[in-house]
Amino acid sequence: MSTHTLHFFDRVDTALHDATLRTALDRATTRFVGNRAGAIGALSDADRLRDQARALRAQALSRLDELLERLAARVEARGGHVCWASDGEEAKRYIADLARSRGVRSIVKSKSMASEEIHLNEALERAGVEVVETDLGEYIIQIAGETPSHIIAPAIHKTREQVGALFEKHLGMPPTTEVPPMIRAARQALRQRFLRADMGISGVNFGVADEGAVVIVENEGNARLTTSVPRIHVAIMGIERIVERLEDLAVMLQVLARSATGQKLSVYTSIISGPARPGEADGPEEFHLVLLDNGRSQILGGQYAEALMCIRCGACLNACPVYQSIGGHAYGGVYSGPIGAVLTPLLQPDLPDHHLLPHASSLCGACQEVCPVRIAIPDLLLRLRADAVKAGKFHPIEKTAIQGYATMMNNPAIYRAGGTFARLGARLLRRKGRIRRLPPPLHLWTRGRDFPALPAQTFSEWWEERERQRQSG
Amino acid sequence: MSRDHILANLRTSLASNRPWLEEVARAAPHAPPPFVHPPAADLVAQFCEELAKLEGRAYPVADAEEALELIGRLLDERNARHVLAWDLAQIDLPGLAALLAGRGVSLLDAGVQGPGRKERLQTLEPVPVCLSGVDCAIAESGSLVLRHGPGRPRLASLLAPTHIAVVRRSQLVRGLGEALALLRERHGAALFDATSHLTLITGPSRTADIEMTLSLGIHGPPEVHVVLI
Amino acid sequence: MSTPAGPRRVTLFVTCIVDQLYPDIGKATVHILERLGVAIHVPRGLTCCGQMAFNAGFRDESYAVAGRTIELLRGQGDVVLPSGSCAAMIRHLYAELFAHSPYAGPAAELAARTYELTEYLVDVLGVTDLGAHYRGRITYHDACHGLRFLGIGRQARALLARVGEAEMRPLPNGGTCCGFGGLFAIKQHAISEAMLERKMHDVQAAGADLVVTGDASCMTQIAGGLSRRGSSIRARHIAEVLANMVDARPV
Repeated sequence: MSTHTLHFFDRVDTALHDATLRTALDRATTRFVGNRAGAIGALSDADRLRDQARALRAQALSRLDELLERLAARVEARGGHVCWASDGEEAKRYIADLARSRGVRSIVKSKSMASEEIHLNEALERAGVEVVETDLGEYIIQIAGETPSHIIAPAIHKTREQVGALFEKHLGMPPTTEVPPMIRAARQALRQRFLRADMGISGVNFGVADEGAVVIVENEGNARLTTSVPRIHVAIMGIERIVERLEDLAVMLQVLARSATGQKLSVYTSIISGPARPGEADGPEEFHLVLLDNGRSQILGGQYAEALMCIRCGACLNACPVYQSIGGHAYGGVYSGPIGAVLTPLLQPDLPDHHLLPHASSLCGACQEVCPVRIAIPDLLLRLRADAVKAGKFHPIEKTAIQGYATMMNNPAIYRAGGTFARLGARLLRRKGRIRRLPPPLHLWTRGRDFPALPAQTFSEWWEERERQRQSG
Repeated sequence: MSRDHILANLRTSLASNRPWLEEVARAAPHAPPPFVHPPAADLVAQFCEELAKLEGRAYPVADAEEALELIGRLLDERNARHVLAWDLAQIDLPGLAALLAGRGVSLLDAGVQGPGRKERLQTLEPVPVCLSGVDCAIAESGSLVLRHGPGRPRLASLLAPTHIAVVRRSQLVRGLGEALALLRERHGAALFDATSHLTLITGPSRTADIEMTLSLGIHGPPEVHVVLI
Repeated sequence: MSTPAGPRRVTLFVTCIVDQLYPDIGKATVHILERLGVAIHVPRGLTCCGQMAFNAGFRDESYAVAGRTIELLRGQGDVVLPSGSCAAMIRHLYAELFAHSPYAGPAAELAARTYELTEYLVDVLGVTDLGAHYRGRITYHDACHGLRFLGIGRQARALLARVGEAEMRPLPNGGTCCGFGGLFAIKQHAISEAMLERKMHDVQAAGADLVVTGDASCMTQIAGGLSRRGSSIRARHIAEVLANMVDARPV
């Protein structure tokens, strides 16, 4: 289902009315939130670890040019190749050209949000190469023709019945609603894909500058297979995803796993430095690292630089009451939830209604509370809202209302008159002490909630009267 | 050149924001903690408990003899005629070669490089058991740390449904910080000279992608057995 | 924050929503503070902290309203608000709004003497027992801005614990947003209603007859939901409970 052709409000509406989705979201986010809380709670000093994680991210970003150069130089010294890609087009061109020149027919992919951001799979398919997603959740949505709905659990919105039906249709699996046979079917189907693939494409959780290495974190084992079995390994890394030293991973890996799923460590952490060395029995013969900029170098210089600290753990999604209600597809882009509402306008500005995303938040701060690197997401959302207004992206009615509000608040006479007018109106509207229907646009309140009847006297009026009495009495 | 373009952009950006980023960087110490949970008195017990929570199996044994017996049993249970293993000399268990030979279990040639790669991979694929040593093991998370390299194939801890790892108690460390520090101490800047790959393995392969239902062995081994000597 | 010699004096900033919709919250706050011997000053013409415009992204309009508020509160000593969200606006967001402007200094100075009501009572005045009574079961909803941006919640619980005869019931998912979020409640009304639905479910599950919060905005959302569902559970601001004014309003 291509969701980006619908308007944001329609996508929200669709999501809110999808009872299956609501149930799935509830189950998943509740589990993730609970697991995270348990894992963080078991740490000797969770606050210190998070403070360290934030400091390390800031440190790396403060020297991003130097660290990227070091990473690239060391990858090349190990016999790897580095592509510096200014944008998605360049990254896609490099990978497609590489595939063509090496006679690549089939590719296996492990999870890479960056590759989804630039729509890599479509470009490769257009170039006549078959691409198979191997992360189970990504595989499911690939055969369903959908986009991911969560940063770490892409098929969170699908029921087992839906998955069973997909596997029945595409894998010829006998009908079942039991999960174990589905797992067996997927393992079997994907196994041969790994063994026959000419190239493996992976994402990167962290680049390690000093070692010329990339770190890939996963639970399934598909990234290990993707990066070890085929002859060529291409790793795509957002340029901001870097640490300086191997030792820094002791902080980053431990906050990542706990924040994402409540695990102490993900099942597999692969730290890969270039192609196989002479004498190594297996591993790729060629290693390519694609460093993807796509706007990040510019973001680093502005008021949203903090967003580049994100380590894509998904904790903010799970904690967000808005995400819990509408799920990932409603956001329209690759990145959803609170950090998605920040990243999408910045990294995917060609999505038509991205300026609405920062408003899909009550600014409750639950995201910031769980972020392992303490990104002040509400502050960033507020800045994006201000930027949208500066760019003229608002409804004229809203501008009029806000101007009216400012005039009223700054002019005592108008404020008093406005209050009097409202009270007159309220007297007409009130039924049994409450108002059940307000005039537009406030009818959007009374659709689902009552509104209090306005009191006979404001607090200021009461106070002034009391003061008068006290002075005279 | 895109490289120059990207670096130029970064430098321009950092001209504005470096001071703020450096301030945030200074707000906390960078030295990673050696471990992050309250320390346990008995590392062996802690390791075994953590691995069990992940549905892996840990077997503390008294000596090499017991270890060999155990491995023999695991192989028998799986009717394993072949294994994909590290070079046995790199696994710290005297008598291992003799055990395998005695049972008629052959070691597959793990080399896949060069022409015929895909054919060789197909030959390796049906292997029922992988066998490896470790560089160290982390008690507070039940993790194995494997530095690959010549004689230590990546697939020898990945391809088969069962992975047996031989670990010496002396190889146990408390936490991830300690493990990385140990690797650094041993190899220094040459950590990745002879090898392209380091793996941390924390229990069996798992996924909860279908309705948050936990399933083991989606791609990697569903069974992890750690023989702790 | 030096306290002048003599009886304590605070400037009360009731906030626009209390002024217009819930004067009883203001009256309750006055009664509570005066009973503690605190003299109250209410600057004439004080209306709004400017949050509504700021949250909508209209920073110029917010600047105009908030700037005037800073002027009205200049030199007015400790400022107390019965609202975590408005206190958070002043303490947390005025710095951003007024950065690189002539009001940057005055905004910081104001922030340093601005308090939310429960934190003023407990942390500044050192009082938890106000002699309040409520015969019934109370559950407490943590308003988000106060909870996360001011770090309050402990104080309200300490105050409610001393309300005679009241039985406190924990609110499941008490720290989860009620869905008000200012204009969010109108502009994203569908999501706001979905969030309210979950809050209603949790309020029902708490088994209390009174849900109490420290923010009139949350109270409007929660009360609006309870009323529409015909629930007998009432919603009140903590000031109303502490001043024994739970029954002062009919609804």
